[in-house]
Amino acid sequence: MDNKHLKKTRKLVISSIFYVLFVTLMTTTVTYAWFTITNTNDAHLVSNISEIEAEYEFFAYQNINRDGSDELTLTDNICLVEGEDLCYLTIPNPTTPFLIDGSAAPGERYSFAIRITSVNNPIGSLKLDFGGLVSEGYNIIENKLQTAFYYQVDKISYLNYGVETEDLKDSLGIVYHQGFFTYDNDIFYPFVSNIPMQNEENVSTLIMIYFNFYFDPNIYGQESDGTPYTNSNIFMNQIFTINDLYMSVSN
Amino acid sequence: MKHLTVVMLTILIITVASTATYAWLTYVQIKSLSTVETHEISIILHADEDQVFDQIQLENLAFIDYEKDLIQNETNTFDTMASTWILTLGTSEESPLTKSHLAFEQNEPGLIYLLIYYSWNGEIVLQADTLFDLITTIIDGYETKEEQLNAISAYNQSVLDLIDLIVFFPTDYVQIKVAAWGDYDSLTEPSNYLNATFNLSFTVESVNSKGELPS
Repeated sequence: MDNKHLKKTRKLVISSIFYVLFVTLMTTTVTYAWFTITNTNDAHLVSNISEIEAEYEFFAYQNINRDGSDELTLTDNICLVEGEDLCYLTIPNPTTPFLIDGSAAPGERYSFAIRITSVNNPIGSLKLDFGGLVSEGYNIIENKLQTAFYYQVDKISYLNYGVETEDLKDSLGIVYHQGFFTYDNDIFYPFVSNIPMQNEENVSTLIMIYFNFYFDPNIYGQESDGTPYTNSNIFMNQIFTINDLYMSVSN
Repeated sequence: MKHLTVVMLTILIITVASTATYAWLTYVQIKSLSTVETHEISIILHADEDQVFDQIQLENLAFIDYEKDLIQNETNTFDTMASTWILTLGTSEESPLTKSHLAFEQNEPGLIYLLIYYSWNGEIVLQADTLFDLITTIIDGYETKEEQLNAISAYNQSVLDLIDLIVFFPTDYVQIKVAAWGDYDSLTEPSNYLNATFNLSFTVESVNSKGELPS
């Protein structure tokens, strides 16, 4: 074998090693990311993935009259006994959608709250999104029950040394969205983002996000030829589920 | 060779850094949120044990002499002469929160009827010990018969207005006691009172608890 040929072979071997290494690393990256996402479906409230870590608690406001909450605080406002009304009920580990008792009707409002605890004092920002919407029992997609629901942020606050702040959703660069759900189930609904995980004093804190879903009585649906209905009756005998609430924290 | 090694190491560092950074930058959790179901408003209406549609046919109605039997109470039989029945209005187990509006309409003069808020979910609400006690309380202070009958109508309307305010949760029910007497003097043809027929029609309109009831 001459020197020229040897040099060419060595170059080929080195290149091959490089490509194999590169592909292996890329595969590792993708697999890691895939596992990261997949792991989030487990039943634990805390998944320690890396330096960033957070846990959250989910609350559904109890109001037998279905008027939502006008007392937007978790301080002394969490249900303590079964059947208690006008308080936030803790929903432990919501791996299946929380079923709102009874039959829903237009004009009703359902309030919820999420309390996020930052762990390891991260300096990231928080984002919440909805996804996985499913309506059942509709005749045409335009009449899906989900299209009659309006989502809205009521309040975003922090708990500083045991005292809850005022509503800060319009400050700190926080971005929030509101609107009706569409009939497309594959849409990802940005809800709130850019919420600082630390308060102004740079101290690890609790973040409370209060929001509601409103069954708008002025949404009527339509007939198959596009003629609008004049009442909400087309939404009777349907089921609407929001399967996923995504919480992400990033730097 | 050195050049290649440097390139490889650089790429390796970048890739590893990317991997770590991805994990370090993003923390995601997915949880479920909520489910709502909708059902039809379902109203249950009974008169005594019978299912009611829209009209009650009154039979064996007793006629009173308004002055002697009610005002003077000469016979002390005002209660026993009353035709009474219990009207039950409720919602089914799957019904959403509901409000209902009741309206009564009588087509012929000569019928005196009194509506009594009788019970809520089986718990009896006592208005008075006897019908006589109740109706004399209602007409107390009114001089003429016309004023007294108007007072009875106003009382009936107040009972219906009370029903308007109720929000029925699934399986809730209210009972109204209806008492009726024939008023001999108010008949168009008093001598023909044995053939008199009265129809007391009533309507029930229901909406969900956030809807508007007809006034």
